[in-house]
Amino acid sequence: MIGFATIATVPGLLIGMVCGLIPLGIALYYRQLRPGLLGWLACAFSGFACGFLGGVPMIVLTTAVVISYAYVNKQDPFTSRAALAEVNFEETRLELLLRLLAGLGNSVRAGLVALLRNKAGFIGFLGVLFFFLMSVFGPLLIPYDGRPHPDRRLPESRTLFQAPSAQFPLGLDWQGRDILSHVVHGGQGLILTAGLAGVLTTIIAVVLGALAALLGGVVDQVFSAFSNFILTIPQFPLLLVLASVLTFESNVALALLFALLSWPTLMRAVRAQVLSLRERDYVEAAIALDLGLWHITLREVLPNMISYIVVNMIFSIRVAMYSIVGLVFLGMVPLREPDWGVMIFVGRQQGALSNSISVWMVLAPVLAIALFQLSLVMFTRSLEEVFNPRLRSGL
Amino acid sequence: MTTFTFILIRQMPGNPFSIKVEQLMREQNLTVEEATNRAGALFDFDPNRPLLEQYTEYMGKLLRGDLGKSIISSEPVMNMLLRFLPWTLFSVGLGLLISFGLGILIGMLMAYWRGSLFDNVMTAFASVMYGIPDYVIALLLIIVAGVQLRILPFAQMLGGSTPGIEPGFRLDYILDLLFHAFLPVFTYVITSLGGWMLTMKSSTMSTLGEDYITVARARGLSQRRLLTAYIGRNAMLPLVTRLAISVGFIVGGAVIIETLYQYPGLGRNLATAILVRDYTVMQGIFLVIAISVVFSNILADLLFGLLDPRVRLGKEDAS
Amino acid sequence: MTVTPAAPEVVLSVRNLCISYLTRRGRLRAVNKVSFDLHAGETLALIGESGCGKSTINLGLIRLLPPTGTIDSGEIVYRRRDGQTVDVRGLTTGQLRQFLWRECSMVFQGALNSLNPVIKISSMIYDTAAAHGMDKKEARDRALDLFQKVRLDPRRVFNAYPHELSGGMRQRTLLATALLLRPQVVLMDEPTTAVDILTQRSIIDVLKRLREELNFSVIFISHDLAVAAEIADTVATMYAGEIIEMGPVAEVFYRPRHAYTLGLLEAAPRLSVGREELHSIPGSPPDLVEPPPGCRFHLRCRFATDECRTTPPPLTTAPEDERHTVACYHTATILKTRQEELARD
Ligand SMILES: Nc1ncnc2c1ncn2[C@@H]1O[C@H](COP(=O)(O)OP(=O)(O)OP(=O)(O)O)[C@@H](O)[C@H]1O
Ligand SMILES: [Mg+2]
Repeated sequence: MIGFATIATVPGLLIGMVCGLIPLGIALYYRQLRPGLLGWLACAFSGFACGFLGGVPMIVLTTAVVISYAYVNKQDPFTSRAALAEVNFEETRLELLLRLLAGLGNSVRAGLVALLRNKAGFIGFLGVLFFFLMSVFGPLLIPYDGRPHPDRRLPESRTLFQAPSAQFPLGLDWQGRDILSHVVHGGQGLILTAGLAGVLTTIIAVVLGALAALLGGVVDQVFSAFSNFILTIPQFPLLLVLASVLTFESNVALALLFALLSWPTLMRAVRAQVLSLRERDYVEAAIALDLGLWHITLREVLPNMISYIVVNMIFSIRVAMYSIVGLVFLGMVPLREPDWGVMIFVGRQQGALSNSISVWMVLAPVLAIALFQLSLVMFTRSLEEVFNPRLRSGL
Repeated sequence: MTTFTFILIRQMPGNPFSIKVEQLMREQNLTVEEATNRAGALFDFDPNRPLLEQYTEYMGKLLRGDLGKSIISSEPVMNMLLRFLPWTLFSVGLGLLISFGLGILIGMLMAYWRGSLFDNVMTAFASVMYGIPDYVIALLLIIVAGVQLRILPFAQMLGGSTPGIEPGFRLDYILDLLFHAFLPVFTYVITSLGGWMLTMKSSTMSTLGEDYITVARARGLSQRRLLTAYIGRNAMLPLVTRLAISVGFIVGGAVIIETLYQYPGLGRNLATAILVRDYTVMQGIFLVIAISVVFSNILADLLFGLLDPRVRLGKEDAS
Repeated sequence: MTVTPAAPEVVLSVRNLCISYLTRRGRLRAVNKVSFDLHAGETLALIGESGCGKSTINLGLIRLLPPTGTIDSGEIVYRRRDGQTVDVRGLTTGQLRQFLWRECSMVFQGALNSLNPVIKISSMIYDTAAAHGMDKKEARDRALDLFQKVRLDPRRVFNAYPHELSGGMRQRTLLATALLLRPQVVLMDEPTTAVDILTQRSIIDVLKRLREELNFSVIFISHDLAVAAEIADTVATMYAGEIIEMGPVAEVFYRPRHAYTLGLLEAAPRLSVGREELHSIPGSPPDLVEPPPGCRFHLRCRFATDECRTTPPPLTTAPEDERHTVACYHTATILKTRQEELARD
């Protein structure tokens, strides 16, 4: 798909286990065995699921969590257990890295704890996890049923469609293929493309936003005008037109196109945040000390905005998935099976909507999409609550 | 905007013009020259002239309301647009109106009775509705209500109006229009209602905490006056600013929704035009969509000014 | 103190009022066993540190506490002009709506935010009038008259939106609106804190004149002792949700008998003294979720003895003036300290 393994594989497991050695080693160095072991397991698991794609990012996350257990912030006299005399405002690169990692680890931990407490968020999280696991491990259990099966036609039936039965829990599609296997196999490409689109959107937005705010002047004006321009065009029709003019060979291109159309919202938020930070006293002090705004942006702004950025990224993923399915649905991009969108498109063309036996071919992917989107929404809404205490309701 | 579409169609790699040229060469065995001229006639421009000249001519025609002819049917694009637009305007407008009104009402009540059963049920409902894409709702509607339960006469409800019925300002025609508009309008309402409700709820909650509400209570105002002019009007302001974004979103969704319900509006015809590569029509519809979004931005600004004197400009300010 | 039936000239009688808020940490008793009488034409100043429960009393008196706040116990009895008594806690919502503003109106803390930003002042006046059955013409005339009285340009203010008025103008608008229906009691929550010193002066002058002309009673909340001294007939000092000393203004300011009042007076800047010698009260107000045993002030009190730390002092009457009540064990020492200080100056 994108060159990485996305189905659970044994090499992936090995990769994950090797990746996991890093947090484990660091944990042993700090004498924090428990988080280290958990980190190793998490790496092995995600490596098993996604190979490098899962294993490598997981190294960062788990290492961050491990470090957050052991790290003592020498910069901050209030949280430090060290005496005031030991407070050290000049940190080396390594210390800076440790501090940032520890911050990340702390927010991961806080997020997880808060998620466990928040009912709706936890359900949403489980939903996302379910679809993820289904796409990754499902193929190990349910083989893909790609070829037509004319032999499965029931004696008195005129089509190959079949309603759900014990043998085929979700029924058979117009070519007599197992719908369940298509549901299990058909989410992966979609989720991956949408995820990539979300990540690209975020990267573009953050980079452009920071650039606009930091460079100011003409750059700022151009970027802002451009973002305004994109914001006024309805996104989906534009995507449609573009997708029909440029024919897409790869999902990466599609994801990139989506990202190019949807960065402005987040970009404006980042820009506003960096600008407002410029006003603050301590930043002025830092400028006076000639520390440079780049420094500050990297060290202070982005860590502070990370929650907003994550929420926005998940939102982009959601919209990307919506748009991609929409494109497939209208037949605007080359169809590739197995795919939920293609199931709906072909199902509609083959008249699956006309009676209740054949309707499963459309109903199954529709429900999958609905549930996945719903899980994402619940997950993000509670993430917002977790990150933003003002939204926490009640006493 | 128009510049953008202009460039899109002419200059992009693999742009429709060169595709058409290739297609003509392949299908009808024409030479490059002939094919280029033919295609030029179809697209209504002469590819040999300098780009700037083409552009001025295109813009000039546009200003006169001339959008060229459909490549497929040779019908003037303007006529087609005028035919499609009312349907979309009607269904999207009605859907937006209903969902906005209902969302404000329910959202306000949710905030007013927060913590009650009503609030909890509605919040759950709104979150679910907010999370599910519009075409999924439409498909579920078709599948569950039309195919599985057969409670809706779907076959009759598709399309814009019953074929053969005489248009006119008569009750039966209007009822027929509403009958056919039910599906798209219902879908728009369901999908955007959740967002309005949740935004209105949080907006009302923060308005309820404002001092002037307590003061108004202390003045013994009637519940109705309090809910409308004091709470409602202030809480509505953030929603009005989102109106234009919402229009863009619904119009985008309309492409799929209208296709699903075979509703003869802009959206479905955009989809058709794209499928048959009718670039002049595509260009025209896209232009109309973009203009309508700009227009709704202006409308939202006007409405905001009407509701909030602080942004109103002009001589009204006491001197 | 025994619960005596309200004397004829008493317009508002409060007995043992307790108000609490529900918070994350538990029940916060913001007002504890507060009793006082407000006489016709009297101005009662409530003074005390920030957070001692002044605004809470005010909101409790008109039953407009936020949803987390409740009146736990106590009586609030109001005597109307026709002599009928009204039990404010027993009013239904509809009756309360009628009672508010017509009998008892309020000028809130934070005038900047007390006006609905999207409607004109005139609509606000008409709304208020309509809610109490006053006709439009009368409301308009009366409002214009009152605006004149508070030294505003009547026509301009009447047709303005709130954002077109300055802070001081809004404050005076609110004052005028409070008097629209000729209430007997006006509650004023720090009406002068958000404005500059000149505007503050003019508001106080206006208030004094209006009070004479229109004859209403005022509960005036302030942490500015000078303002309180100037405007009030009676002063009540609050600490941690309790009224710990109350009496005629001269009595309380010149012969304070509670250590906290003494501390407040010492902390106030005195223009007569050349050298700036301001004392602050050490420490901070106690946690109202778990108040300290005994006298609530004992942790910060320089006169505190063992008795203070265990048993809350009862409210006693001063021998010189029976209107002067105080809850302190060391009244004599404190009175002496104050008098020595005054003599020194
Ligand atoms: N809505 C609320 N929920 C919980 N506690 C509250 C609430 N409002 C006030 N309190 C608490 O009640 C106590 C009294 O507050 P109140 O507003 O009456 O103080 P105040 O004397 O008016 O102070 P200030 O002079 O600053 O206006 C404070 O300790 C405050 O923390
Ligand atoms: Mg207060």
